[in-house]
This record gives sequence, C-alpha cells and structure tokens, in this order.
Amino acid sequence: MSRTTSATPLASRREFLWQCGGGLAGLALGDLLVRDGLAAEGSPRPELNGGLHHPAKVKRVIQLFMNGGASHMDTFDYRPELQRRSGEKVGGGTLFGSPFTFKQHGQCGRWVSSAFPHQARHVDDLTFLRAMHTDNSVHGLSSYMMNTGFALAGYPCMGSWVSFGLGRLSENLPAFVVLPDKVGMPYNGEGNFSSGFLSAQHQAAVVRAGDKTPIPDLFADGRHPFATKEADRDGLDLLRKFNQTHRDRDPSDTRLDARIASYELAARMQCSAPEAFDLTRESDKLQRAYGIGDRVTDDVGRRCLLARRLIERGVRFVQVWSGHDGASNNWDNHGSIATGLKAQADKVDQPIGALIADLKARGLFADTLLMWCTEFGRTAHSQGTGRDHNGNCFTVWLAGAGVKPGHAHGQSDEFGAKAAEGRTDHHDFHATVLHLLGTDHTKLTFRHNGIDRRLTDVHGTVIREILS
Amino acid sequence: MHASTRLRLRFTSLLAAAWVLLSLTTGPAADEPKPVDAAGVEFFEKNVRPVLVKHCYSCHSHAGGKMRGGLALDSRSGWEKGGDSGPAVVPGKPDKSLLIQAVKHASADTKMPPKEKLSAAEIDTLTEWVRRGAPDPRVLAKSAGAEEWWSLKPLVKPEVPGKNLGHPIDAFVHAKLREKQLTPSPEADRRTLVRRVTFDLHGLPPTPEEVEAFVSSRDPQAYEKLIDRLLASPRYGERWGRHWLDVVRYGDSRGNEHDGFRESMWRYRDYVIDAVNTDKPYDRFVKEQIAADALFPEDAALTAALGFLAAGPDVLSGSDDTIRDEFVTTTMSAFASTTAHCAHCHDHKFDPISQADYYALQAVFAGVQRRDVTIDLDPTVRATRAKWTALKAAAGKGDRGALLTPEVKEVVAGWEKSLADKSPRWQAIHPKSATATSGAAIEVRRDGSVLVAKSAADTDMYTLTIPGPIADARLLRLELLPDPALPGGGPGLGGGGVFALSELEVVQFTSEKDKGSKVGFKSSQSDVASKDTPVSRVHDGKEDTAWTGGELKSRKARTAVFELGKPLTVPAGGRLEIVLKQRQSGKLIGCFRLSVSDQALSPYALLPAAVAEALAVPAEKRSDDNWLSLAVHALPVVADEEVKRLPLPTSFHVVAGSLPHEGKVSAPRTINILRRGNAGKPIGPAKPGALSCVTALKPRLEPERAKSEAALRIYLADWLCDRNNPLTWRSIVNRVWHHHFGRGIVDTVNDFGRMGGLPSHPELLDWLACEFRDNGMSLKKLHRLIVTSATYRQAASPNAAAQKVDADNRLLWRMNRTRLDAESYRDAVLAVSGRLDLTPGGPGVLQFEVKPGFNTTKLANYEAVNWDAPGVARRSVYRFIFRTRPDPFMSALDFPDASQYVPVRPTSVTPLQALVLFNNPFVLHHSDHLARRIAKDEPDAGAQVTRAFRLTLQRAPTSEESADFTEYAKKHGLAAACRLLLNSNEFLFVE
Repeated sequence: MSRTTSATPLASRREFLWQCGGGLAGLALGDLLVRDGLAAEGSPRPELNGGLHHPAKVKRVIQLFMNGGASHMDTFDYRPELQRRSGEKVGGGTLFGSPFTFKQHGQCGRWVSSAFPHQARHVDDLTFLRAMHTDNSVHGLSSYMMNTGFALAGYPCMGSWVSFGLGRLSENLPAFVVLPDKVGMPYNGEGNFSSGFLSAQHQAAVVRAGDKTPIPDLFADGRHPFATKEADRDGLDLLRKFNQTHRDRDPSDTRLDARIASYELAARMQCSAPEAFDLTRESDKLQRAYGIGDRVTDDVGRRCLLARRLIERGVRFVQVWSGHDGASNNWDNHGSIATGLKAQADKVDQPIGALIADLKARGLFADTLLMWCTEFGRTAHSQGTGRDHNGNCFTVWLAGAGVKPGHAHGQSDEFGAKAAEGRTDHHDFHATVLHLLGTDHTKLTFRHNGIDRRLTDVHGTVIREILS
Repeated sequence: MHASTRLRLRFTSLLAAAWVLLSLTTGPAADEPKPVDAAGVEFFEKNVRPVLVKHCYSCHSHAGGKMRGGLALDSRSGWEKGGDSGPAVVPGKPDKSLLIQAVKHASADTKMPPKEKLSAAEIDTLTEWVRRGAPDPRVLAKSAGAEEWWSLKPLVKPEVPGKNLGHPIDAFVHAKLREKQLTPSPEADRRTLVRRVTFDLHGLPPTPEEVEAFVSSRDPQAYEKLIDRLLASPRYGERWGRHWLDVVRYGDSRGNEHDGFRESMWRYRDYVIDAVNTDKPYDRFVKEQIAADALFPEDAALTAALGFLAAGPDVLSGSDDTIRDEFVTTTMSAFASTTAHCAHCHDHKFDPISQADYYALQAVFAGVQRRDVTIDLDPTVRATRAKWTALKAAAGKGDRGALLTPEVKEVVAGWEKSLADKSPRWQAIHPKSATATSGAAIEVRRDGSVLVAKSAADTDMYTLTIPGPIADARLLRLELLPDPALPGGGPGLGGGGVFALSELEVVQFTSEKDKGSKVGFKSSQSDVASKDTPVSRVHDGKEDTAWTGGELKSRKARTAVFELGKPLTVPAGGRLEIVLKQRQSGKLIGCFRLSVSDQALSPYALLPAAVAEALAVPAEKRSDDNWLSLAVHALPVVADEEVKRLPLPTSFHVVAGSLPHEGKVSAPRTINILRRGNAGKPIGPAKPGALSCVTALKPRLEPERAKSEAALRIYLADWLCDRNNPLTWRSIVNRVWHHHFGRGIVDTVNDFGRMGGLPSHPELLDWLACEFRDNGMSLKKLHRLIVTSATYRQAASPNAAAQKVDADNRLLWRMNRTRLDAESYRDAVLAVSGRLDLTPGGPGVLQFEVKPGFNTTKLANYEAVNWDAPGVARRSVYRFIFRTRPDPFMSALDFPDASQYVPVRPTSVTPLQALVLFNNPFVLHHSDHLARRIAKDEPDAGAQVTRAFRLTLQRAPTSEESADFTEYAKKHGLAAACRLLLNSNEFLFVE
C-alpha cells in the first residue's frame, strides 16, 4: 500500500540512486504498487490529518513491549498497603511488598519505584493505565491478545492493522518494523507480529538491529561473488527493460507495473535503510544518553534510538521488544523481583528515559505515540522471592500526541492484585490507539472466512479519559 | 401478509413442531420452533410486529445489524434466549417479562426504548401479547427464505446452452460472453499452453524437452495426452494436495508459546497427497477425514486422515467450547464453504444458521480430542502384540486358566531350550586370601567357595582379595551355599542356618600403589525375593540394614546378582577387594561363592528359586504349580523379546475419540448451547446435527443414534456427502475452478453465504457440481474437463474492448495471468537449476538450521541452511512448517501464516519481496547452479543465454534479448544473468 508519490525530478533521482550504490536508472515513477484489492474502507484523508474516520492526533507509533509480564507493583503501581502488610498471609498466599523503594516524582507527584529512576524523571509526560486486565495468565495467549486482540494464533497484530488501514508514510522504508531482543524472539515468536490474513505487504519487517545485516536480503551476501555492485546496477537496468517489454504486451495488468516499481522502491530502500540504521550519525552524547556502549543498556539503547530514527524517516509503527522467551532474561520474574526484575529494568530504563526526552526535544511528540506495554502483571503474593503471572491487573503507559500528560487512569485494589476502578483491557487499549490514529476501531475491518474481522474483535471502548 | 406466505409459515411451523416432537429429549429445547395457532399469528402480525419493527428492530435485530445487550427481537428464539439479562419474555406473565418492565420504564436501569417511551396503547398491546402466551411465528423467518439463496437451492443439473455441441464449459461461458457482446480470446500458443498447464497441475515448469515435444507434436490428441501424463505423475498430488493443506491450516509445529514439533503430523500431509494422486473419490476423501475410524475401522492406515482437524495450531485458550469451535469452523469452511462459525455467539447475522444449528455441529464433535496415537498398521503385527500383551498380563496376575494351556507350555519349553544359550557364563573368582576381622579361620576351596565353619564372633567382616586380571566384568553373583559342616546345614552360622549380610562392598585397585576406588551397583536381585529384607539392603550404604535371604526353609541356598555400575576391568598387578560386612548379632555367613560375568544384565542372569526348582523336575513329571511358576517367569521374558522383534508402531497426530484398535467406545458428552458463546452461561443441551437450512436433509440425528460417538461423525460425514447436499458439491468444484483460473466462479471460496460473492456463472457451477457428483466424484476427471475447455486454453492477451465491459475478466473473455505461489516459485528455481530432489513423502524437511531455544520453541536460522546437503532441496510441500518461526523467503511470496485458514492466497507486491528475490542466498545460490548446469554443456555465451531462456521461460530469446543478456553475461557472468531471469515477471507469472 503506497500513498506517497515522490516528486523528485528524474535526473536528480537517477543521480541519487547511483550515488547510494543501489543502481537503477530511469524507472517509471509513481504510486504503482497495487493494492491487492484487500483495502480497508476508505483511505487516509489529508483533511483528517491522515485519519481514516476522524482527525488523527497520531501519525506514528513506537511500542515498547516488556516480554514476560512486567510487575506493576514493583514499578509504576505503588501499593502502600502491600508494602505495609508485606509478609501477612492473605487470601491463600503471603503478601509480598516490593523490595524497591517508591518516591513521588514530577509535578503530578506520580509514585515510581527505584527500579526506574530514568523513566521517573518523565512522569509528567506519561499517561498510565493502571487497571489493565486480561482473561488469561499464560504468556503465549496473553501476548497474542495484547498484540492481535485474539488469544488464538494467526490473527494480524496491531502494527499490521495500522499498515493495512493507514499505509506507509514513506516509500523508502517499510511501514511496520519490529526490533526483537538481540538474544531471541518473544513468546509466540513471530506469531506476535504476524500479519495473519492481511496481505504480505503488511508483514512486519523484522530488523536485527545489532547485526551486520539488519534487514536480511537488503544486499546480496558475500558468498556470491557474481553479485557485485556493478552487476546489480546493470542488472536492474536490464531487468527493468526486460520486464518493460513483457509488460508492454499487456498494459492492462497493473501488477506487472507494480513489480517493476517494486525493484525501484527496493533500490531506494537499499539507499535509505543503511542511512537509517547508521546510529553513528547521531552525536556521541546522544548515543551515550541512550546507553549505547554500556554493556547493560547497549542493546535496548540501540533499538530505542533506531526506533526514533525510523519513525522520523516515515516508518509508521515500530515495536521494540525487551526480553525473549523462556525462563530468564525477560520480565517473567518468578525467581526474584529484587535481582531478576532489577536486571531487566536496568537494561531498559535509561534507554527509555532517553527516548522520551529525545522525542520530546525533537518535537516528535506532536504526532508520535510512545507506549510501554506488557502481556500481564504479577501477583501481590510472593512466589519465593518472585511473583507469579497475574492477568487480573497490569500497568501500561502512553506518551506523546493525543494523550494527557502526567495523568493516570484506573486503580488497582489495595494490594495491586486486581484492577479495581477504571478497568480497561487490551481491546480498549487497541481501540484507543486506533482512535488516536484517526481510525474507528469498529470500522477498520477485513473480511476473512465469512467474518468482518477487527483488531478489537467485537469488543473495545476508546478510553476517552486519557485523551488530551 | 400474503396468504401464501402465511400458509408456508404455518406449514413450516407445523413441520417443525412435528420434528420437535420426534426428537424431544429431556431438558429445555433451547431453540427449536413451536407451533402457533392461527389466532395467535393474526394477533401478532396485526398488532405486535409493527410495534417491534418500529421501535425495537433498529437496536435489536439482525436486519438492524445490532443486538444491543445480546438481545434480538426479530425471532421467537431471540426473546426466548434473551440477552445478557436473561429471557426477555415469559409467556403468559407480563409482570415477569423484562420486555414489559423495560417498555413501562418500571426500573431506572432498563428503560426501553431509552429515549422515547412507547404510547400507552403500544405498551398495552405488548402486555396483552405476553399475557396471551406470546404467540410468535417468526422462528423460521430466515430459514423459510433459505432456499431462495443460491447456494442452498437444491442442486439441479442445468441444460447446457446451445445444442450440446462442443465443450459444455465453453457453452456456458460463451453464452454469458455473448450476452455482453464479448468474444473469447483465441487459443494460447503451444509454448504458453504447456507452461500453463504444467505449472497448474504440477507446480513446476516443463523441461525444454517437454516443451519441444509438445510444440512440435502433430498428434491431434497431443494436448489430451499431455494432460493424461501430467495427471498420472506424483507431482500432481504434491501440487494439488498443497491446495488442500491451505484449507486446513497445515503446520508441523504446535503454534503458540511452546511451539514444539509435531513429529508425525506429516502423515496427514502424505495422506492428502496420496489421496489426490490416487484420485480417491471425493466423498470417500471427506468421509475419511471426518470419520475414518468409525467408517473404515479395518484400515488402520486411514488414521492419518484424522489429522484433518489436528493440522491447525493448538488451541490453548479457554474452554473445550473454543476447541470445538475450531472443529466446526474447519469442517464447515472446508467441505461446505459455509460460515457456520458465525453463529457461535448468536444466530448468524446474515445466513439462515441458528445458534442451535451451530451447537448441533459442536455436539457432533462432543467425543473427540487432539491426540497422539500409535498403531500397528499390519493386523498380524497388531494381533501378535495384543497376544503377548495379554499373556504378559495373565502372567502378572498368575491367571491359572490362561497359563496352564498347551500353547503356554510350548512357549515355556522354547524358553527352557534357550536357557543354555542365553544364561550368562559365570566365572567363579578365586580369592588369593580371605580374612575375617574377628580372626576366624576362612577356608578357600578349589571351586572358589569360601567356608567359615565356625566363629566365636558375634558380628564380623570378611575381606577377600582377588588378584587381577579381571576383564570387563558386568555382573557379580553371590551364592550362599549350604554345607553339612554348618549349623542346620547353613548357609549361615546362626540357628537353623540363618544369615544376615549388612553391606557388600567391592573396591578395585588398579596397581599395588592404588588407594582403591569403590565399585557401585546399578541394581540387584535375589532368587528368593523378600519385601522386608530385599537384597538391595546390602548396597544401601547403611550398616544397620541387612539382607537375610527371606525365610530359610527347605531350600537353603540363596543367590543374588548385582549389576555393576560400569564394566569392571582390573589389570594384572591390580586387585579387587570384596568386603562382606555382617553387623547383625549371631547371623554370620558360613559358606558362599562369588562369580563374575562379562555379559550384560538380562532376565536370564538369575532364575527365581521356584523356577529353578521347577526346572529341576523333568518336564513330564512337573506339577501344575511347577508349570505355573515357569509360565509366570518365562512369559514376560519371552513376550518382551517377541514384542521387541515387531516393527515399531506408526504414530499419528489426530483428532479422534477412542480408536478401533483400542477396544473402547467413547460416549459423547452433552454439549450445551451457550448464551453469547460464554462457557459460563449454558442455555440447554444441543442436539447433534447439522444445518437446518439444508432442507433436503435431516437436520438432527435421532436421539437413539446420538448415543454413540462414532455415529455422530458418521452422521455428519453422510450429511456432507449426501447427493442432495447443495453445498458440498458446489464447494469442491468451485475450489478446483479457483485454482485453475486464479479465481473461483464464486470468489469467496470458503463463504457461500450472503456476505460472500455471487457466482459469476451459476449454471456452470451447478452443472459442474452435478457432473462431478454423478461421475465418480473424481478430481482428475474434473481437471481434465476444465483444462480441455477452450475457456481454459484461451490466451491471456489484452483486449481493449472487452476490458471496457469486463475489466475484471469475471466473464472469462481471456485467461487470467497468475503469479507463482511461494512453493511453485521455489520449486521452479530448484527444478531449472537441476537441483530439485523429487523424493516423495516422509517427515518434514528442515530447510533451516535448528538449535535449542530458551523454552520448548527451538531456534531456526533459515539463512544458515545448506541447500546442497542431501535431502534438503525437496519440493516445498515437504518442508517442515514451523508456525512461530516462519521462513521469511516463503512469507515474502505470500506463504500465509500457517495458523490461519487460507482459502485464497493473496499475491502481494512489495519492495521487500523484490529484495528477497534479488538478494536471498537461495536465489543467488541457485542462479549459480543454473549457470553451472548450462555451462557444462554449452561453451558458447550466446547459446548459454538461449539455454537459460529455454530452461526458465520455456522459449528462446529474441535477438535483442539475446544480445542484451549475452553482453550482460559476458560482463558479469552467466550466474548474474540467470539471477535476472529468476527475477523477471515472465518467470514469476503464468499466462
């Protein structure tokens, strides 16, 4: 789905392409990528600021996902009663006060634990949902729900829906990019960022940020010596000519034009992507602020900074994952909150703090939404020195365009065991994000196997209380 | 209301009422129609319906598209079931009816309509209606119109237009074209045709030789012969079987968080390919997948067909309701192109499918579940295994009746004969010295036995020293021997010959200087088993426990065998010390012997005392008790040996109840209809059945038949395969048409409902469906029929005039150009580069490097695969499909998420796809292979280019193309030129 048309004059474009080494010349310009007849109703409207159904506050999204079920009562949901009564036997378990200390921060006086000193500085920019809940307390199912709205495998995730509904902001980069943890994939693997029944053009581009080849196949690898720069350049020219002759026999088939154009766009991506991925173009100071170079924060720092660079360059939706599947190196802190959660928090806190500050400083919050999410929360009861899964309550935060700064919606109960007031679930969350993107979640549908499918299934209410 | 409509309503209501009576069971009839008297109907139609339509339907009806609070007021079942607050009307009791409370605005919570109260007269009407018992004929309103919908109309074979001249398909298609003043395109050239039909039927390109043979053939039957050859090849089943795997969401892993491998799922894949290749009649194909176990119990290999409902991802969420929902969805989408699953939470919003129908289908699957099963496919093997299992069980129970038979005696005799061969060879070990801590005298005799004739000590410890070499000892035997010199005849020095051995220790010294290391025992056994003082006590590390050999009565000898922790070798110059610790007062050992064997532990290492005694009696003199002792011991030994010799049973991953070979019968459970699909809100039991809107067939199973789980699935299989089912036959011929033309006659191939597409050629669809159904249900015949039509054979060239009238080519004035799907692209690249391995079947091929992951889910690296390793470059249908680690190459070419139903593959065009085709190592690697293959035979650059064109595009290049590509190949290499051809639209599209 392509909606932007390049207006670069032919000659300079040609030169531009030569320079960036992709090499291809004189191709037909234009918005040629066909939509494959699977489009959502309508298309983004300029008069709605790019919204589909109403004016959009948000044009692009960065979603930070804490894989494993980040504990709310040890981070953003201060429960004084839990702290006071820690060790008491209540409701079939032992209350477990957070091993961290809590302080109030910012103008809004938000309580944040000592696990997140960097994010604590930015609470005046964040909106919290503190009474999130989900039907399930199993990683796989809850991760599917949080990402796709369904507990079953095979449904499109939010990033794919956004790509499907709103398309690209730039032809030079994919609409939807996923930056998984350097070490491994989250629970459900790539199922979490499946495009499900939506066409492959809405698939996530899974980018390995720290790798020598962040986008696989962006360039030929060194194993094939015949694939030289010159062979590429001359080859794309000859391929275009050959395809053009073939296409001229049937000009009515726009797929043939689209395929020709796709090679041009690919070449532009070859040019744009390395620049986008080159973090050394940022100042040393900023890199350090993100924690790049520090063993603990380097991976998340790189990916947070890359996320900013990508949305700046027109990627619609970027997902940054913290943690992989399995029992360690993620937010599934059954074993120990004091050390396990802390270790994970140390990896993300500084980079996330830097990302908030960076987005704000660059004015990107004018149309960018940043979200901190997880699949479920954790129990108020102890499990040794850790906590078990808890779908009854968890916390997420949002920041940036369209949401109230320094705000909190919803309350958990006295121990943080259950969402109490202002309860919201993943459907409401998805409805709200789509709403901010100028999209009515009940109208963004795709007919699959007889059902008009939605990201929000048949549920979801926009959480108006957090809208600015 | 027209009289006729009313008549029909009443008629169908009566029919329905009769039906209810027939099938009445206990419990509430959740959604079954009830008879309404004429006066009631009149009151309703004249007074009540207008009020409901005017004030309620906009928020509470299917037509309004809304069911606020879950409540629909457009049918009787709607208010009977009610919404979230329960039934809206209690017939006869206005004051107990929520509807009446709501319209009266009696409670602040529910005031209906919310904005504007009804007039007093309208409220009175509704109240009076409820008081009269709420007569409401609308139950069947939607079903009554069912047969007016095209897909539910009875299947009647239409007349072929014209005078039955020429090909029937063309007659239908050309008639439609004529209506729009369109003409079909001329026949495609022969090169295009052979390429088209080979990709279509095989998913592979024809070789240059095949192209040449067809193009130059003068045989008027050349095309028909080509089709016959293609349909007879196993490549056909691999291509068309894959289409079916899309329908069932085939994958080789479980999906979800713990995405473990399903090691035997491939048997279903092979079943499908085989069924297609052998042209299994379609009804049989349907029946086997739903109920092979119930319908064809004698053919255990058909268990593979039951992978149909197991091929999709695991469903881990929620209740069994969710799992059965998948069964219903898969079955009805696949075989009936019907969205029955839309009636899970409420009556279908658009199609005449009630929630009761939906749960009737769920109830069919009430006794099945996802299972891993293993079966001996060979009945003889199965019988043999069963025989030995039974004999072993009889031995375990000491069942005299089963054991004292001539057959068993024969088995025992065979076992007895084998003893000489199978019993371990024992070598007595002769101690060089033997000492007792007490100083008691120890005599070592010539046979290696050791005698302590008397001792003054109360407790003692004997130490025997045995010099090396000892080679590879695995077993150690301790015999306690009676001796006339001992009190009571031995073997102990205690009263009556009792003894107690506290610990037995073996210490090895590899040389004189060695400080010694203890040799552990893996296991131990004794000829007289004792629960209270088992022989394991001598190696439990506790000196206060002992083995006493059980009660010593007539038989005084005792033997114990110890399995050494690891094989023991003592070199010459080394030694072994064996220590017998005896800590129980007055129970010292008097006479014993130690032996070793280099054989592994087996059931022949030690015979129980009773067995040894029975063996000592000559066969002809043995008592029944002797025989019993022998049988109890020998049968399990022989049974294990015999079973071990059998071929391994075959594993399947299936959805099934108890299978025939398991000898159990599963009873279906009661399935409840659930309010809004909520497992916590049952409304009443569902009656097993299918869709009521298929009026030619019985919509429910008779209650007496519904008691057997197998009967439920047989019913559904029969229902689907009934010649009068209008959905099944239309569904399959449309699927086949879709794959031949890139688009179905109905383009929503899984949805023939009101929200689906309409058939472009309804008469043709029905004609094909009847033709297919009535002529052996042969897919191969159907293919032959379709691909021999002029419609299929016409060119795909453009036509500006036709374009204006029918840009979409719905009327088929030309052939559609289709893009290769992911498998065809990959297989074609392998084929043209000469690398395709055509080995069929078997476990999925890992086209990725696999490593252990952080949980069950393994890591997969697709870039690291070595395409040249043996068995990797197989056809894509045989690759292992790993749900949560999909192959990015295949995904870029629209291979779908394997957890979703894919009735129609999308074809996308993206820059990432271009990058993948241009740069992925698979394409580059095989460009290289292709170039080498060509260069091997062709030294000339120009000829090489021609050959590359012939292999990839099935044609020679034009002179300009030849010049361009030759120049390019000279500059950058032939491999680089091949890479371009593999990226060309001409390669990717089939005309």
